[in-house]
Amino acid sequence: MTGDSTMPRHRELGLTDSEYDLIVEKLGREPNAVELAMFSLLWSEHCAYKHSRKLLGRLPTDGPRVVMGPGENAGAVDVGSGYAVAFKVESHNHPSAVEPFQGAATGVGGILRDVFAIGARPIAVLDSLRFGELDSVRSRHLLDGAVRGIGHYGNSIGVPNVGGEIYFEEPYEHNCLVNAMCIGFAKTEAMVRAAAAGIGNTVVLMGATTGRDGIGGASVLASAELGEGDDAKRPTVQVGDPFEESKVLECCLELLEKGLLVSLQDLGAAGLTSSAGEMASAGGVGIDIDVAKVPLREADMEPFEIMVSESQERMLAVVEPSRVAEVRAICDKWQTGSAEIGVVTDSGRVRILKAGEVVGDMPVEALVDGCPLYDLEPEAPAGWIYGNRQTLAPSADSEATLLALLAAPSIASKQWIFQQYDSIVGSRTVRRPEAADAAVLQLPESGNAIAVSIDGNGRRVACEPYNGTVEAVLECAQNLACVGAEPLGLTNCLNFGNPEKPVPAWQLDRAISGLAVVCEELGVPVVGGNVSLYNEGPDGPIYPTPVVAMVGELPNPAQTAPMGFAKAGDAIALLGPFAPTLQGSELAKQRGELAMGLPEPDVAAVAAACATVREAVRAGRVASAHDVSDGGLACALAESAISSGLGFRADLQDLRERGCSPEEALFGEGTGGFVLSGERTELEALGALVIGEVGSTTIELAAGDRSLVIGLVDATEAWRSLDARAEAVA
Amino acid sequence: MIWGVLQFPGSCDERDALNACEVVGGEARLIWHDERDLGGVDGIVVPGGFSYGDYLRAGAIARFSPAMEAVAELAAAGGPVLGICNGFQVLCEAGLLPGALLRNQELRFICKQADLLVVDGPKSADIERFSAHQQVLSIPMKHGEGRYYAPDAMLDEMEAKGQVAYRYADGHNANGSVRDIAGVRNERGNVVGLMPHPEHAVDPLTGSIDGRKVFEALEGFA
Amino acid sequence: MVELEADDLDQLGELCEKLLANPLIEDYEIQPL
Repeated sequence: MTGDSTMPRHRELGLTDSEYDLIVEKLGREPNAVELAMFSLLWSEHCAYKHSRKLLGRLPTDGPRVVMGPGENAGAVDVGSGYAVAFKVESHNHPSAVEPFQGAATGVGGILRDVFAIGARPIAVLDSLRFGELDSVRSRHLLDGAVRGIGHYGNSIGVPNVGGEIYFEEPYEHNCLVNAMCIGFAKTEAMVRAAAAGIGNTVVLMGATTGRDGIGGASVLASAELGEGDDAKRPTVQVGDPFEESKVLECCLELLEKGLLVSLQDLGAAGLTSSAGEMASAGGVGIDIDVAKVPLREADMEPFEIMVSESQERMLAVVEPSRVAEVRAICDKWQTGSAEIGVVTDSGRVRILKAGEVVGDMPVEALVDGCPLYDLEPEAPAGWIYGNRQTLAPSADSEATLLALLAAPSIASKQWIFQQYDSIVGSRTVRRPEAADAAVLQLPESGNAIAVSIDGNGRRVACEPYNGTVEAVLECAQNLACVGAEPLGLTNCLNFGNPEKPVPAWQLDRAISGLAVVCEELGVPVVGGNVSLYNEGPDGPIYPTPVVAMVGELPNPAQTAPMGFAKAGDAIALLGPFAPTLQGSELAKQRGELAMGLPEPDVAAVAAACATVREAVRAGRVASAHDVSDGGLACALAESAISSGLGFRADLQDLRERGCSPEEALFGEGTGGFVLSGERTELEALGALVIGEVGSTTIELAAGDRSLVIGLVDATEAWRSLDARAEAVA
Repeated sequence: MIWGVLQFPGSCDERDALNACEVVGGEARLIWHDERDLGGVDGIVVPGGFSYGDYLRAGAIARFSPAMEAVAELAAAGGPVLGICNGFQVLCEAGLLPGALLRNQELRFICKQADLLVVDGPKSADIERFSAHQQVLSIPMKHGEGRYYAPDAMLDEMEAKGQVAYRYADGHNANGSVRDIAGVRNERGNVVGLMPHPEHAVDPLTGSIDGRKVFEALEGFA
Repeated sequence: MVELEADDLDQLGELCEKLLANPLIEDYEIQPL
């Protein structure tokens, strides 16, 4: 790694002077090269969470259904009959901005490993992506690369991609976001933890060989802003091999099934350094690693390179010595590598040896938990800091406005993307992407099903981080309700700018507070998550983007409502405390009128509406259910029409009587709105407001002086226009 | 009837195939790729996935496995063999079916539901079960290398001998397969390969159940 | 491109025909190094 030759080595590696002094104090001497490399990684923002850890303590993490909480490789909740569902979301933002295909692919690989590391078989992946606007060649390139990378990895390994979300906003132009989520399924009693245990037990490294991939990734890429000359960082993006992963996955699951492992950990950011360190820390033990025993892909690797390599598709296990031969035999069967590289000790230290000679020796506590945690210095911005760009004239009529919203890449159908993913392998997918508001996966083993949704509108969070984050969680809950699911747990990925700067610090602080309060009120525990900071470029920070994902359960997978209308003649109704405004809306964005401020959501009222919709869906009392989000009610109604091929007529007069202007009623956004369709009497019995009827070749919305009529064909063309935009030749 | 479903390193849809065989009323078991003995099964499914990581070419390595040697013998003896997606690729590489599969025309992986036309074969087993060419099956396709190809002369011969088994309906050929061919059979009719996935069309909860007919069409050869 | 060590050029040809290439859809060229 090149750098200013006059800069001290520790600063080149991302450590401050005072952090370095603290390391010296804890070691009782200066660290050598191996130790310095290891400390620089484990004390990086990406691994140590030094600017977020104190805030994350606010999040509620307990609940009667929690089987594994934060701190393990993935969280897990009980789904009954002795089964658990594991899940987690993680970011791979910085590598994806440098090399989108491999960055996104290895993001998927990494999150898969986190899930099977606890003994759960991966049964689905989802992804949450953010790019700049599609008129940017760079953003089209990143979108294309990321989608192909995610597809390549997930499809090859045979795990279905069942949902996700993508937004295109200028603040992500220099810092795209790639958040990958994985869901796994396991018998609760078969799940395993990461804590190393048993003095004298053998440490076994399984999977692929170790090369120079990703060296310095955690400290180089994930803990610093991207600037000019980032091409030099290109070699550090890891390269993924899904075939290797499928072999080590099957091997690990068989080893766990046979009870052959004491503990298991995946190798991700900071490779062996973090895995070995964290296993030792969790178990309150020490660990010796001999780098000479690590199977290498490249010759002459230095001990520090071996310890910090981020070569993919590797797992670390603790095995009783008497069972090591059996473990290695099963690795051979699956044609995946295995090597005895170390031993669990009672020293409380991480020792690195090279063919028996000690080349590094650090206390576990100092390495893993010794990093100082920082307080933020938050400061609210004076106003809107993200700029505005007008793409829609204020004089545009309602028809043109609706078409512009439907065609907005953030709102338009993502079919071009999800058709590049295998969404059905595994035979569990009851609701495929865009068929309903949440993905639904059947669990014949436990006799029920789960639903999952991943959401997070960064633009709205930028308008008001506390309310915007509360909204994101409520949107997840609403999406789950539409398929009859009750939330069991939540995972989150907090993507923010530089926490050492006052405004991103304020955004992070407010967002985490909002997240804590809404999860507490809803009774949904946070079972795990990830933080990605320093997402800033020359133009400033990204939109504060807390991506939240919820997993819920439902009793009968045959009773989940689709998003699209069912048949002509059905009534259409609006249910819930929907009080739309143009604040933070897609329309405000297109008009170039974004500003600070967002209404405060009524969590209790939205939760009550979710319960009503959930029960109605489970009882088969509605033909379709769709929550109102981006683009407002007009878009939600249009989406239900387009996806079913059935037009409709609706009158928004009642909404206006609640105090909305015609424009707010049509295009305003906010939580709490559900669009339902079905038998009129059923909808009325639910307390929903009947506003229209299904059946025509047009979309007709009565809204005072902003009333509109457009052909279903035109609306469809607008909503299906993403392919053309995404593949546009510059 | 007892189906054997082959399993290679990198297979993805073998458990789905296992499940589908049971749904259509058979028994089914997994057969590991290095098994030379098929254990007395009546028919074989070569499943979808990315056997050996598609190293060299999709299906190029798998076709040399001991299990595939045994499958070739079963096929020669007239037993039913169904190759799905990667399985179809394996059977073509093994020479058990004519033609080859290339990258999709649009150079992207595509996963979507497709309408397939059933095309009658030379054997009465098919003709009894299906009426004419009009039967349409709704079956999902999901692949990156599913564009069927064979030279014109070979195709003419295949058509003459009733070796085209399934065609994509109008507007449903998303990968550019020549003559809209979605699946083919050998001359005898007991070996069938298709790119779409009938094993993912057997459960009403997850989609159509038309895929059952693809399995049933081969039961007569057991 | 595949790089191999081989003693017998004829054998290499057979290897190409039977494994390394699918003659129906691929041409190949053997370049001695």
